[in-house]
Amino acid sequence: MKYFIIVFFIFFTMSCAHKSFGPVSYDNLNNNKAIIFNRSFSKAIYKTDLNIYGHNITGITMIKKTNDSFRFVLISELGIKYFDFEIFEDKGIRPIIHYAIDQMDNKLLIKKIINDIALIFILQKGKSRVKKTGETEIIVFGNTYYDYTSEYGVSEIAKSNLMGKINCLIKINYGENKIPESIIIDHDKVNIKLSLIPNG
Amino acid sequence: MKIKLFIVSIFICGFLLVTLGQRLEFVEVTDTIMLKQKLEATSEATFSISSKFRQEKHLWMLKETIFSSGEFIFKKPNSIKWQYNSPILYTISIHNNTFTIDNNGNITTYDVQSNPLFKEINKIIATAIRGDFINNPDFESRFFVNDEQFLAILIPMNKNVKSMLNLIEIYLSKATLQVDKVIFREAQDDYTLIYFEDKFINRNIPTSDFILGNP
Repeated sequence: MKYFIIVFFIFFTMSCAHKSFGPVSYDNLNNNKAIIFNRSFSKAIYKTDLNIYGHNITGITMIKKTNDSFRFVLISELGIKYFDFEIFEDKGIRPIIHYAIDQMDNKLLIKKIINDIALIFILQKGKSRVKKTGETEIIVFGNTYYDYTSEYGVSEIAKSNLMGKINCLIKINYGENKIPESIIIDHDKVNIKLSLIPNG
Repeated sequence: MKIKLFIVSIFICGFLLVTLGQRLEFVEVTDTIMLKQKLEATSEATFSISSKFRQEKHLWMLKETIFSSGEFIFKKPNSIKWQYNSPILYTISIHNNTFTIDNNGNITTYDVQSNPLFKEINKIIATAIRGDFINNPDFESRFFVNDEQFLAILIPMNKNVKSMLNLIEIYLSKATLQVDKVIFREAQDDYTLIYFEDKFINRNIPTSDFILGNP
């Protein structure tokens, strides 16, 4: 009986979370709004600050678009590669870890980092709900929330766990040509800050 | 007449290409004892190095290169400072067993001894720049020469270093035995190439130049 009440409570709160959002939509318009790197993007390099459980790593990240995926390669300033991921736009395709430096080759940690980074690259498909607040639309795909304005695009992505608690928060600012100028990813004790290097 | 000129030009170009290629092609050094003695003597006589550097990070799979540049100083026995000016402002200083980073004004310090990875990186850099990799147990080495340069190929023996680097190529000027360029080769055919230019040897470098965060 106790477990039935707990399970019922969980399902009740989950359904309540979306009650203030509009009806389910299968609109491609919402899919096309939840895009961070637009179709014209090819590559960019970012100054990178990575903080993992109190350990700080800095370097330069190259993000490059390939046919249907993005390569995310972080190197130290001295040129030593830390990791090299390939993340597909189709979230159904598992990301590939081309390389991770031994000292960071912890499966759980790498998975956490990749899953968070993937949120800025994957193309959402399928059903969504929308809530409008002034100029801002909050578009929800499953447990991922996108804050969208027509002027700036997606400025924030939040992902919640099963209990509805936000465990990953991403803030994005755009520069010229709508390329993200800064991206901050916060997930518990893992924090990634990317700052665009102009003409890099 | 025109056809004759054309054929002669082709021969001359071909001849130049072959001879230039032969000049630049490296052959293995037979008398390594003599070379090692010369390198040791140069290393002993070098108390400081200051130069500009250009760095290229070649990502083979992505077919991309990331360019950096800055200034480098070295002072015996083990003080090294890399100051990156482009594309980001970033300085690393290794001095008195301390690894200090100035990341655009944010200073962080690490104890080299307590961090095995930093300790090994420090050793590799110091070894490559000083040129004192002779009889160094951390590397297996082979030596090559052409008309203009010596090439030392170092294969790391240390487990931590081996996980990051397959081998290190050090190109030394035949005239001065100073390091012209270094290539750090990694897995997946990626590599980092560093050119040293506008070098000054044995210039007076104050110790304070290696202490970051000085007003």
